[in-house]
Amino acid sequence: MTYSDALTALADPTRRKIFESLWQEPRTVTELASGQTVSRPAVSQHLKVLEAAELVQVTPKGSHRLYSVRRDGLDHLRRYLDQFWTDALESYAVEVRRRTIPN
Amino acid sequence: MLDPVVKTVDVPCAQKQAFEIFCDMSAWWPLDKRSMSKMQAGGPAKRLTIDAHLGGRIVETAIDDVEHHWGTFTKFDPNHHLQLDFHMGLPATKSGQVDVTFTPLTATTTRVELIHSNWEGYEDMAEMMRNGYGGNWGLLFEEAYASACAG
Repeated sequence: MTYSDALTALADPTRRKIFESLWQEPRTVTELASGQTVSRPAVSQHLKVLEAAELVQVTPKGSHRLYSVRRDGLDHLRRYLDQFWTDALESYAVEVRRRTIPN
Repeated sequence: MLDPVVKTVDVPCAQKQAFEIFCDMSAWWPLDKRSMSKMQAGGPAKRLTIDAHLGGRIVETAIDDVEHHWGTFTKFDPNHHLQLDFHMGLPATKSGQVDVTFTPLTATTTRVELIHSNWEGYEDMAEMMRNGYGGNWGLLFEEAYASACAG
């Protein structure tokens, strides 16, 4: 998973609604579709995107498929942003040292 | 209000030079590690273009020549302070705020503090990111700071 996958996946308002709904509790496609104005196939498409971004996971439950939030997906995102600035500032400090320490 | 991400690094040069090198971002930004190109096109970006003045933009040119607008300078106080609307990877309407201050500690040491805030700008997903499970921003920061200083 990459940061941009997760951000892109969540940038869509409908997908974000679905994600938030799963954040509360795991649900099936039917349950998700009943709470949305979008059709069931559309919900399935959105879930595919969220699954590809490793934000949700699916587990079989009887004859149904139950979707739930992957907690580690958000951890990735959080860690990404933190590490992003750590790497940037580290490179900056290296450049300062390169220019200031005489050869 | 959500807590910002705060990063600090002390660099061995005067305030003016610390500011100038920071603005010369294309010379030091780790494009091989941190770029849209790396994330989306599978290779390091070709370059970063910084228009270092108020209203100026930071634009990445990816390996496939696609341009990614990362952010725009919203404050530009030479040698002291920078502020950016930062939205790398998102539409410009979903911006966080990056604030960088340069404080002289001695004639040859400057403290650079970077604050990434306004998570509300990223809308509701921000809260989930900040309040989600696991992860420890403080610990990561301390490790990074220690390694930056040890260099």
